[in-house]
Amino acid sequence: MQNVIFGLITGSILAIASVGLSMIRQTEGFINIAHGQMLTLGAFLGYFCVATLELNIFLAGLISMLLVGILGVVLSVLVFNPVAASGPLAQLFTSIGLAYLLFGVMRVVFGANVTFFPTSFGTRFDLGSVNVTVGEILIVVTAAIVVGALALFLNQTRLGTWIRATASNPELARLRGIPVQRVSHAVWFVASALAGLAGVMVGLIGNVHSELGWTLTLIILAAAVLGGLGSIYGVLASGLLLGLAMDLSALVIPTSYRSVVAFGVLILGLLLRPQGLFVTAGRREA
Amino acid sequence: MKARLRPVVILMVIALVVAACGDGEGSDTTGAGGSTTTAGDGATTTAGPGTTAEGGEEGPIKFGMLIGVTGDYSPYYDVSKAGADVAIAEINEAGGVLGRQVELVVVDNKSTVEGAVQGFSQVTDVEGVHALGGPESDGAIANLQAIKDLQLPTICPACGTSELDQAGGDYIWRITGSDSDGGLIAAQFARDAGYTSVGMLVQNTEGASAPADVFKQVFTEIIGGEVSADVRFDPGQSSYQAQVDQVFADDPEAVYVGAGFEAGGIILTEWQRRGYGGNFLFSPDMIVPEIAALTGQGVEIGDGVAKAAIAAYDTESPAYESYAPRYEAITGEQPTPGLYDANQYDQYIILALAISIAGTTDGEAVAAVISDLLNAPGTVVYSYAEGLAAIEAGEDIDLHGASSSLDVNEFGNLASPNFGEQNIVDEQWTQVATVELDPSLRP
Repeated sequence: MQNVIFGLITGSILAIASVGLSMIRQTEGFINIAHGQMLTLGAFLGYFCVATLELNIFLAGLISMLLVGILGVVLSVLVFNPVAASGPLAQLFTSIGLAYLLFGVMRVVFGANVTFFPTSFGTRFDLGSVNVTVGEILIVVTAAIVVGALALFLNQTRLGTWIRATASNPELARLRGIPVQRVSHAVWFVASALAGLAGVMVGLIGNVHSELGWTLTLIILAAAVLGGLGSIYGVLASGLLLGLAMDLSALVIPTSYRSVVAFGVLILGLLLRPQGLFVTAGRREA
Repeated sequence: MKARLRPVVILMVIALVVAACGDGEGSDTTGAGGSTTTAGDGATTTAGPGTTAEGGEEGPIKFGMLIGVTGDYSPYYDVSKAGADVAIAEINEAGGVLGRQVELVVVDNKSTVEGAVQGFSQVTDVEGVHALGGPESDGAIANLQAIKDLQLPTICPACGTSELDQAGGDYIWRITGSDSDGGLIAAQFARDAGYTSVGMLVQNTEGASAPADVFKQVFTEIIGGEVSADVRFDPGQSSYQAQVDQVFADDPEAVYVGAGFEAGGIILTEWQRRGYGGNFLFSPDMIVPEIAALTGQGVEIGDGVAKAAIAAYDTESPAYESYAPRYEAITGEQPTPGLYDANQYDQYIILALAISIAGTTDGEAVAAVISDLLNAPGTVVYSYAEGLAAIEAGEDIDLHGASSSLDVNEFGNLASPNFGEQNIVDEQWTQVATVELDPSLRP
């Protein structure tokens, strides 16, 4: 049961980290490899707010989300939009280059040291053989609130409806008069902000260092692919599924095979449902 | 076409001339009074009065120092050279070896295997040294067979590699602890603390796994303890909750953590979060300020809860007491165990006394006396002059060095290296005791 708690925490963070990647893939048409670096930036900003500015962790999380979200919009305008006409491959390789650039800049600004959030996880509740801390509950609850808010945003607001329409058929959306540029900015902001939040969560659970984005990019991609790159809810579910699979596997096989389990689940999932576990309709991928 | 080639040919000729001039510097006679000159190919010689740079039985006795002057090991170079210089000065002030002055020939191995192989050729074929010191792990391993083939007495002052654990004792000796000694000293701590059950949390890297395997073997087979869980993990993960839970599932009295501090820090914060309790035995990689600083963030591993060890000098030894102020006069710093300066000093005292005992610079004869020189029985001596006097009096000697007692086993490895027991006190790693490794624990 303890491993279920671990899996929920890991899965919640993975889901938040992956959904932004999926949103950009769905509306912009390419896989943004720099997404992992946005996560790292969120972790560094969160750490800076807590350790240096001595801000509350919730405020630090909000500031990180906001700043990383804004940076996402700026990068979309300055870097990705100019190459959009060259197609998804050009955007993909641009994102790889941007990832290295962001990595280098963060190394210069924040250094190569490993740091730990000076944040307590608060009271620990012992429930028989299982225990959980207030901080861990808050991470899962925050992830759930974010997912709920995202669902409300996508389904109950006009901008959300435009995003879904653009994701479903960009050309038709354009013809129907949807302001695709505004939609693009909104997607970049939300996706990057979610990466920033995931970065703060990863930093809280583990540590903060410049390699964070590289170490997580593959597993984030795995969650996104398993859920179906075009399905936001599928990606959220697959993030949770992968987190649970990795931590529950520790009960039966050595933990050094944790990553093997994650990618084993991915391969099995794709063999059974090549379109993604949670995609109901066929979709043409670029 | 010929006209086009002409400048290239001219450049090549100039390059050959310059290179030839550079090589020529390596065989120049060095100045008197212990002057130091930099020769071709980065070789440096420190000579006594009136010496020549040629080998043979009439010139100075040449000790090679094949070391990383440049590259990754370069931060160690200045202090290593200072330690070696103290030894060379001490030997020459005592009249030299076999009545001949001693000359230190420094060759840069560029901190690479290739550089070590090239440097070895230079130091042997060109410089014709009588004995060798200074190499680091990779250089020593790369030249191991050549050292044996040339019968060149060689001391390794800073080679931790476990590949030397059973490879020396004939022409190569190691006077620092092996990497696997990190596992041995942790097992010794476990034994001394009376632990009967220890869990293991070890990352899957060569540097962490090798000492961890030694710990497991010694703790279970020699001490008779039980390893409750041996959990191995890949580094670079954002969380190790499942692994930490697994290793503490059987309530071990202590957990051996063999990890870099990146993973180790996460493990410790997760341990604190879950409140598992117990004690820790850390690998040396965990002895970093970042881990100690965690105690300031509520991770309760201070005051002996976590214990670790790194190499230490025997600061109460007369050899150390004599060496330290001379080293400090050169560097302005105190000797530092992690920098191996005292080991660099010891190696040349060993080689000088070994040649004095053998009465010749013949490599086979010199190598044959080194293990006896380092081990009891014999009159314990703490300096070159003391040793020389005892040899001239016809006594067997047992040299104790500035870095340790220098006792070696059959494979030429330090039998009982000194370790400093480290605890976290006031958010800093602090040496609380000096511990000599118990040689009976060696597998």
